Amino acid sequence: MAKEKQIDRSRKNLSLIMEENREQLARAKEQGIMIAWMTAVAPAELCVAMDILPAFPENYGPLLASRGLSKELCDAAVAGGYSEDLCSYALANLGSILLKKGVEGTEGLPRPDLLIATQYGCTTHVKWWEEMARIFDVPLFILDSAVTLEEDLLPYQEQYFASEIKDCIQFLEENTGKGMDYDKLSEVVKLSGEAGRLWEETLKLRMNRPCPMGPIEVYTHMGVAVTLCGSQTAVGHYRLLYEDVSKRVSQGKGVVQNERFRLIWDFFPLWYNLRLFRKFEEYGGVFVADVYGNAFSGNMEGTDPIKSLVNRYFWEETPPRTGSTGRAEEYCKLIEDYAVDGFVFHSNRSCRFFSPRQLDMKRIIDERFGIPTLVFEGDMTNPNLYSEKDMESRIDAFFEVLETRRIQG
Amino acid sequence: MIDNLRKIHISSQDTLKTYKEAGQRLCGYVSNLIPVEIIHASGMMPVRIEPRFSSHNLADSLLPTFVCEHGRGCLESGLAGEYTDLDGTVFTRTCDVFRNLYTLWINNVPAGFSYYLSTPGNINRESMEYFSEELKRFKIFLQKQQGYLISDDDLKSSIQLYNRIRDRLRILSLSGILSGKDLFHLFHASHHIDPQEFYDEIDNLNLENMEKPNSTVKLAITGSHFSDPGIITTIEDLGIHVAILDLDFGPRSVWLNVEEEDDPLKSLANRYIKSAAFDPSKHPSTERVNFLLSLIRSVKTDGIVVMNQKYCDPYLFEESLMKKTFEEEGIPSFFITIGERLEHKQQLINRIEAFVEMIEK
Repeated sequence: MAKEKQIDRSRKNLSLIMEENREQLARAKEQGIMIAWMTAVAPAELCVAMDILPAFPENYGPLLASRGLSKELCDAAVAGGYSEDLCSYALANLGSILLKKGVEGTEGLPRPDLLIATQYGCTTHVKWWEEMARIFDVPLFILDSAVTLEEDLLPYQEQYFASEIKDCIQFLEENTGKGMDYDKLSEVVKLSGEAGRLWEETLKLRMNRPCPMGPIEVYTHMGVAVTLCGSQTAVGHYRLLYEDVSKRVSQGKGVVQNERFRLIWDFFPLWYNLRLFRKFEEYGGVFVADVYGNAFSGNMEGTDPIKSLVNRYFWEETPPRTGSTGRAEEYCKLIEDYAVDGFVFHSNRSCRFFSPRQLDMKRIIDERFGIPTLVFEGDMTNPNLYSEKDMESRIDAFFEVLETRRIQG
Repeated sequence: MIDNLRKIHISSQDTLKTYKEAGQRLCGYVSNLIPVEIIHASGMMPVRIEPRFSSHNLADSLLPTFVCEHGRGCLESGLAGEYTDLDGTVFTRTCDVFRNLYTLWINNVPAGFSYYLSTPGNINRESMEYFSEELKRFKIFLQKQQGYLISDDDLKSSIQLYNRIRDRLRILSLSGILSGKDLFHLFHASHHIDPQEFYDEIDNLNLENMEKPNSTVKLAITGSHFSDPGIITTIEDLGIHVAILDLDFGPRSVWLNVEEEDDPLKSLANRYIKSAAFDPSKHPSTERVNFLLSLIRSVKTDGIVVMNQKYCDPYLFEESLMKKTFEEEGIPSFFITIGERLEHKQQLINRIEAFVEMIEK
């Protein structure tokens, strides 16, 4: 009972605000509010400042998966002519469009008025959004970014990315018939930054032993930063969550009673099978860190909102940072800071952006720390591509290695 | 003459060694989006990285199973030491696999320097300015590598040479006279020998002396990439003329020239950004499909075969657009998923025969 109370405030609030968001989206058309479908790392702050409601098919994919719909929808997309090898977020989304089927008896995400995708992030974003522009016959904007090999953007690189963001604003202005309110944009950017800061602070609490927040909680709360980007609601929610998790820390309460192994998970979870994490917990294994959890938050300081957006989003595709080397370095730091004992790589068949770098990252981490690692093949949304039975025996073997290592000191 | 180019393509690794032994510095590159003119102007010979082997034992230890054979094959070549003669390699923003290849290559392939060139995805005034600056940095980087100051005249001279090559390749690729197999070797060879030598070879090709293929069915082939000419010969052995070969190496790679009068780096930025529209990882896909339509109309093929590699997302995503477009245009089309090499010959024969039968009806 005590445990239930402990998580109730932020969990209840999460259900409430996400339900409100779905209702808001459902009512948008009758209220004359435009809806823009955006890729996950697009600057949704621009839409929010223009009173356009952003919707995120990539956030909807996990929802479809968690409600047991993704297999049927991916199959429908393949039957509709799309390659089975494409990203399962895209397939589930396209299947949802083809079948007019979504969660809770709806027809899926409400039809978009505008589409915005980014060239940074993965190639799939561009191609998937192009396909949707053909299906819905609505305006599409593709936002490009600068890429740098330096620690920060050089002036001409910053100028280019800023010009792209300004072009996106112009696209929104042309399609809404109204101008951007830059004071409002500043406010939205500030709120977005504040929500991100609170979320990052919350994630850092996972450094505590026992770890007070597990991956299921992380992956269910992280979507707020995207879906409710730039809102007071998101800030309020993350404040609540921070308080909840801090309280657990002060009470010494962890995800499991007897925390024995601290682990890292890379990258996407199996959205249709978040229970998998419980199997690790049975062994006293807790995932204490990842880089996916804070993928949707970032530094938004500064008074110029365009500059803040540039600084926030440019690193999404900077090769030294996001390739195998940069990502491995990031993990090496987490392994030290979070006192990590083992590493699990989900080699996600859907993702040719994150998965191809994992074995090289594993090599780097092996060389540096020699901690046990488990690499398994699966898929984030399509359960057809994952074998529960194989996975269970591999988890057993993984913990055997961890135990042996612990005994041997 | 094509025989000579075929030999050059087939023995391109030996050719590289010969250049290297003669003191020529070599620079690898991975995409049509990289301005080879700047590499050439620096005094290095540009060499396209390609898959060399039919198995990928080394790359399999670094890449998951669901990565295309092209990316896997290129990495395998590097890991197996096929490119140890290179003084460096240049990467750019293309598909997700090749973006990842940059750090995989640096960390695991002993092949000199590595450079990542940021090609913008959108075509507008700002992206041109941005890319010009990127090219300036690229030029400075190569100057440091070479210990040689690249002058505007160097650049202009390289631009002129590559323009002449492109002019000639455009004519040859749309002549309707060369076989698909010849086109395959012609384009591949262009990436593996000194460009001046290559130009001299193709400049001597006299189309008027060549016999037109005696086939009743003319097809276009489009798709991602494969390095096995056996795929083309298998099709042409059925009495089909592959009159358009629109692979990554193909007409789209030579369609646009660089302005020779303006500031060379700006002209290069202009040309390569516009060419990026033909790259399937870029936006908008309609540019490439419309380009393909214009080729089909110009050469008057009877149909098109779309050959995409498994796990090649950018091309696989375009299939629905292509199907719709070809249907609307009344162009018979056939889609097949392939690997880097010909693996199921009889299956390919059966399916192509069935497609041709459908066209002839």
